[in-house]
Amino acid sequence: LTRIAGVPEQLRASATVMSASAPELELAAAALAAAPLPEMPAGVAASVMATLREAAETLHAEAGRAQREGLELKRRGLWLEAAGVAFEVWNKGIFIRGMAAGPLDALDLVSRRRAADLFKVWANYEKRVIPFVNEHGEESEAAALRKLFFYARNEDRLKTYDRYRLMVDEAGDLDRYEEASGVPLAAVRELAGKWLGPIGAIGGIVEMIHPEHGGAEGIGDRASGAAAAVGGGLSTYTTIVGLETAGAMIPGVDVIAGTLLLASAGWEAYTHRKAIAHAVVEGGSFLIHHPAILAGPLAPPVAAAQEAWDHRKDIAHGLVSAGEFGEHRAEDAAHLASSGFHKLKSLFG
Amino acid sequence: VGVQLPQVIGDPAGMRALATALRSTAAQIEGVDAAVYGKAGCLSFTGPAATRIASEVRGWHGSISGVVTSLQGAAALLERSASDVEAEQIARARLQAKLDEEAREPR
Repeated sequence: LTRIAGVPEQLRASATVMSASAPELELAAAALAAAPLPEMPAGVAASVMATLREAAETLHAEAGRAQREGLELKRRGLWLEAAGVAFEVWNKGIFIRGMAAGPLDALDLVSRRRAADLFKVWANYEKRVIPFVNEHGEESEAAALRKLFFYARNEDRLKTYDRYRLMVDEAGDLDRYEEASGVPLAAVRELAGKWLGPIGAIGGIVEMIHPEHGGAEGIGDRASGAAAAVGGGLSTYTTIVGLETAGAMIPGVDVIAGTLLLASAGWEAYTHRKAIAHAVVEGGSFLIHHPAILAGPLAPPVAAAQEAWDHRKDIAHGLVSAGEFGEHRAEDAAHLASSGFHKLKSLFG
Repeated sequence: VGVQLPQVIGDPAGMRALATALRSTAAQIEGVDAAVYGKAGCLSFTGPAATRIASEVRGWHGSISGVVTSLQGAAALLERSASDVEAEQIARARLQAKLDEEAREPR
């Protein structure tokens, strides 16, 4: 990995001084070359003349070098400045994105805790109540009393009778518990989408200019960046004017955006395949219920994209626990995957 | 017939003037070098281009310093030579005067 760092102002100041030195050196070279020589002993004259000639030639050559390197320093300073501006935009984008993603993370955490809580209660129910119901019959008085005692004992965790009913009706299904956790995720995501779209576009453009990897992976990053930029831009546009209007105004825009987004999602999934696999292993039961994600780029793309979106938080948390990438990278992948999937879904019915 | 000693070649005043001019030029170039190397020689800049530019700047500084040193050396040589020429010219003039006087005296 090549690290390039510098202070643009310092480079520019040095460039100015260096370029300004060139004419001074040229002037000195000309003065030495044309210096009037007095009468002097032959040996001294030869030595002095040789010195003056060599000094003039050297100064002329070094004036050229000062001019060249001054220009180079100036150009490097400008590049660094441009990179600094892009980095600042990127950082601001990430910060704002983090701010927008914060409520989602908090709500997801709440929903996961509620779901996990119900799952634990179900484990107890399965152990303490179900054998009793099986033994005495569902409608028996003994079973009803057993259920009542169980509810009373777990009242602080079940909160309401509705939650108790939900726990029993969904019979220990963690995903269903999470869906029914009562957290208004859909509404918050709708709101966050309006913010994340333009930020995704900026991030995508930065990724195109400064790919994270070199070589073939760098090309992938650029493609991913382009897709994110298109996706972010389209997302913003459709948020404002609606997808139908966008499609009507720019024929084929859906197909292009959908294809790009899906390709990008595939690339992201491939790049982060180890972290995803780690997240899956950490997830435990998730592995059994959702094997398609394990296959990564080999899985049917639409199914993989859907699963990535459905379990974006698992992936994100897995990435953090693996300590390899930031959570936002997985979020980006999930976001792209989801956008691509929904665009295609709307196209193909 | 009087004896004519050969002339001592050299213009001490002109040689000293040239030496002064060379010292002035050397000082001017030294000032340029200090200004450039003072800034470009200690850049907070890393990377392949930075390494190449740093090497160029060091080379430039070495070359310019070499010119300053050689100009100062030439000026010193001129000043020493001017003094020598001046001393020889005085000595020649004294000797020539003595010889001329001896030639004029009746035997």
